[in-house]
Amino acid sequence: MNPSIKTTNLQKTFTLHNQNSTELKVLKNINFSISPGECVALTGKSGTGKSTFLRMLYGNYLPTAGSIEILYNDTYFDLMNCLEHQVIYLRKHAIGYVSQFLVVIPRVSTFDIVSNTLKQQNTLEDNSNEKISHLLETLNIKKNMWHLPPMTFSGGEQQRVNIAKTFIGNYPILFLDEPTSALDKENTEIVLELIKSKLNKNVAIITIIHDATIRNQICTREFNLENFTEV
Amino acid sequence: MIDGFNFAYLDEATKRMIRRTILKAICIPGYQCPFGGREMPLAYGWGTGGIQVTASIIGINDTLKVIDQGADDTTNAISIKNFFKKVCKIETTEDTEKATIIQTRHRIPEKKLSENQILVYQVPQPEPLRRLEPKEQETRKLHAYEEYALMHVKLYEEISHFGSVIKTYAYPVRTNKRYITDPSPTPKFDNPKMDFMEALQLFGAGRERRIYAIPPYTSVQSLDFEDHPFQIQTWDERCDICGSNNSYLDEIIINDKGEKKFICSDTNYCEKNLKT
Amino acid sequence: MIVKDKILEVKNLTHYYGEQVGCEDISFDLYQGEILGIVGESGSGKSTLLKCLSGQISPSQGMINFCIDKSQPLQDLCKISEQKKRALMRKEWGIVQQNPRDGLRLRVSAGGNIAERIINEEIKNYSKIRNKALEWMDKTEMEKSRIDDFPLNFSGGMQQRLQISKILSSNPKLVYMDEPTGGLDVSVQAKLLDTITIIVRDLNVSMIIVSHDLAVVKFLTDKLLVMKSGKVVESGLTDRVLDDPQHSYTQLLTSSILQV
Repeated sequence: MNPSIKTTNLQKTFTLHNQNSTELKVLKNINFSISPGECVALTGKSGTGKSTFLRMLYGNYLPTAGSIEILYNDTYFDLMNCLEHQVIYLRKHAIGYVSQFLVVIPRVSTFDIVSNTLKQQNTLEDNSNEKISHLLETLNIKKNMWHLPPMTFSGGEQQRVNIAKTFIGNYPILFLDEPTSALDKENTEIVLELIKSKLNKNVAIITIIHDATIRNQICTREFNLENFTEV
Repeated sequence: MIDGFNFAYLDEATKRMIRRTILKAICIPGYQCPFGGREMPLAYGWGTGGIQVTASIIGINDTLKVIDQGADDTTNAISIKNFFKKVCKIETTEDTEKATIIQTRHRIPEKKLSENQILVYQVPQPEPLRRLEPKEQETRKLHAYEEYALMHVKLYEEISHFGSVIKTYAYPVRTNKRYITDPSPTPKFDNPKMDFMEALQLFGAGRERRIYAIPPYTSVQSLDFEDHPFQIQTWDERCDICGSNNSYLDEIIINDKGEKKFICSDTNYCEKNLKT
Repeated sequence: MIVKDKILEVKNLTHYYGEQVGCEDISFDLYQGEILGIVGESGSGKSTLLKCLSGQISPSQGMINFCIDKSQPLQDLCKISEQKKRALMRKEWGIVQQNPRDGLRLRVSAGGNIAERIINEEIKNYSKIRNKALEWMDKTEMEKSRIDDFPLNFSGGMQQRLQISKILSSNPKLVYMDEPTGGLDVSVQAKLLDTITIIVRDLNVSMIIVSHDLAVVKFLTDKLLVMKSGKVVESGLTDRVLDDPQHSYTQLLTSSILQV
């Protein structure tokens, strides 16, 4: 099966021009690939570039060298050579990203945040409200909060909204950056079940989870970024 | 030379310049042509433009009629008529039918004009868009590029604020389906007379130094909206003197009690109507 | 394939004010439905660039290729007649001016302002024009009851909304915004940005927003041009440019944002 993502000699160096042009060589020569249905955990000590790697795959950080290819609709897209609107398209349809910090869109209700994903993917239908309700209930987000914007929610609640927003969509690839870090045991279990059902649908998942016991419940493979770091 | 004046007061070179402007104006119906306006023996705002046009076209065999708000006998009409009598020694008349040149302020005679007559209008502000767009540079472009939405916006504003278009004089028209023209402060009642008029219509604005023209048999359409079509004024009353019910009536207060009479603004028309 | 129509192609756009550089050698593309942000401090050249793009001034050099008709190749706006350009300015694009005085006729009613743009479309029926004006006021969340009021008496936020209604009424391909939230209260800003977001997504209109406010740009735009001293120093996806700035000036800008 064709890999969902392929990287070739990927490298990232940060140059801080205003701090005497200090260079931070974070990652180099990464050759990575992941196939549908796989769940790869990025591991390595704090600061080794796990988030950096993920952000490069999303187009949020600019690689210094190398290439990233994303598979969508049986075609490979070279992320470095994509036009901006193409990357945005891929983000809407190909890659869902649950980030460590909820990118708060102010003034939009929880329900609308989730239904927006369906709008973007042009899959909003008459029975969508039921699907959204079901997912929010599964994630233990109380019904009386659905019309509220998540700005005032607790960290755990915000994270669950974030998860709902991404999991409602039909992405072939998911990036999950510490998806359970703010959740209690019960909600962590729920999220893990959701992740497993995505894997059963052949979604390729790259995740960062520092807790090994949780990690091992869903990941098929680990990818240690310490192997690619320059000290 | 007549009493020390060149015929019709203006020197021949000036007349030539003005005639050239008039010819150009006739070729571009409704387009405002600049001209080198001269110092005239009366102030701006009193008809200097009309006088310069008349002075440039008048000949020894012409018969001149001058009216002001339709009347031959008001002060200004008489003054201008006397001016031309003095500097041209031509025939003058009050009879619309007998005149070859009619200089007018703010009215078109009720009697239909013919091909051998010329109507000269006195115009204060030749630019119909001036109030909406104060910049001359911009109004020239609007005319050149036929960008006339602004004029319709004016009509829109009146309908939205008052329920209908309230402009009753100097009602803008589209000349020859091209230029938007100010018909001078004639009542909108007179606008239909301009459409396909058989006489040549010349417009002179002295202060603004512009001449424009509408040649005979030219289309002149008053601006409106499909669902708010152009309408002229009507009166319930008839002329108190001649009984006319299809001429423009002036409302005259006749005493301190505020009692009114309605009489024809066109004095010559009224007189003739009375005789028949 | 992920394909969108290109509606604007700018090549080597340069404008001098005498000896002084306004903007220099600017090149970029814009696709249908994209929102581009142009950021930079005062004097960076972003206002000059905006004026060149929107047709207010004729640039000294360069090309501005615009899509007038999707079935035809892009046309260089620097080479077409003034008449044609003015006609396009009234229909195909519009600019929401920083100062509403420049973008509205303050003594013409709100409805009249919108009507001017609609009338250009050859609609000469008063009721139809008025209904369309009401429709657009509704879409930009303006109170319809204020259709006959003069924008002279409107709040800043309302004036901006009126400018937006006016421009959108001609179904333009592109809307320019010059510091759209400058001078507005924070809460008014927020409401306006929300309205803009909804409209843009619903209508698939492209936008170019000039702002010195990185927060506004982060919220609204898909991609970004960073300008300094008349030149573009960095460009790319908005989140990429702001989260991983490459140029020294961009790094300076992003480190200067106050974290709320």
